[in-house]
Amino acid sequence: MRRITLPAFFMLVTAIGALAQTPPAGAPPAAGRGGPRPPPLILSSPAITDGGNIPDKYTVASQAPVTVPLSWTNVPAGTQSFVLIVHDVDVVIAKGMGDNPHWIVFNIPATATSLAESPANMPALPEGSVQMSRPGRGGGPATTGFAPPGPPPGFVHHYNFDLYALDIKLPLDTGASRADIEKALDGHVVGKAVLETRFKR
Amino acid sequence: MRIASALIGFVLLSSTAVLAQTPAAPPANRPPPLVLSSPAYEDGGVVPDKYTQKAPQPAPSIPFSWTGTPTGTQSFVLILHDLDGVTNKTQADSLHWLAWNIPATATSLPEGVPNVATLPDGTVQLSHRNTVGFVGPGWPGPASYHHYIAELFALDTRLALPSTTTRDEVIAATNGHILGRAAYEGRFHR
Repeated sequence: MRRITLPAFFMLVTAIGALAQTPPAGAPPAAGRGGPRPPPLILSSPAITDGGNIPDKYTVASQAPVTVPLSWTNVPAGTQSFVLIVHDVDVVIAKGMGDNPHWIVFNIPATATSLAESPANMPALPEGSVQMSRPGRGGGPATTGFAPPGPPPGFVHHYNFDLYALDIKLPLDTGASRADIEKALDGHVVGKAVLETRFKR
Repeated sequence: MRIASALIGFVLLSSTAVLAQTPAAPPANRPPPLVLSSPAYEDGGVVPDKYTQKAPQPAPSIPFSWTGTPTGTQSFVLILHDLDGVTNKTQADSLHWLAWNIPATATSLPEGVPNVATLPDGTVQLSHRNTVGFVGPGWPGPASYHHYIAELFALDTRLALPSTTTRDEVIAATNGHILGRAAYEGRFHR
């Protein structure tokens, strides 16, 4: 009896994989129906365990806070740029659903797979990246950079890091609002990954 | 003389008050925050199998409880959603549970809320994915986690919406009525 050929073996494995992937009710649809699911975009940080607490050096507890180092794997095929949205999901603004953005970076090049730890007010970013500017405090000039977490003392706030892989670059500049950015990325998301963190001082 | 002393005293008191207001000091009048928790798993931890699609379906709903109900709360909305994954290339994420008109007096949802549209206390649960109420986490994985965030919103109103309402309609109806919010995060993969 002949040994099973490599292509035949591959087809068998693929078929078993497809059978095993019968999505139960509620599972997200497979990206390529009928084919194997591509590995999902995964965001992580060497500094924070997923679901864990943010060390002080990245927060208002530090005199010279720095950005949270991030890296990601499994960039989806067709990615043209990334958007990073860091937001505090425990804040109510004007009685609405909108939460508090701490850092929004878009047009991160598709070739990038990480953001280095660097000064929060002057982050080192891959060339081409654009940071959304925020209104200055008390009517001051607009600022960019990573706004270090600083919930009211004693309060635990959740800071989510959302990374979106897009099939376009966004035709926007630093003056774009979060709403502008979210509207522009709509219909262009080819991958998303989340890192959950918390902070209490 | 007396007036001068009083003035000096006032100035001194004011300066002390200003000095005492270092940014780290909590304002004395800040109400306690709305805090959401679950006895089933730690905040940021892994959702136990019994509440997920790994268990016989329908799995019981995750128990939640909360403290710090804001003054003026008329009802609560609870949303459980999967932040990972992409639908139609949009930012829309995946809903697992949406309940509204939870009474303002409630401070918990027990494990295993019945899968009916309207509960005896007036709480309404959305129908989705051919199911009424809670649908457990189900991300196949196996190498990565999905993030399932439970969010509780305290509203200054009750929502006059039928159980056939969509998620977007419920969210839109909360706009301008949110007094407090709290999050509790869980992760899961098979």
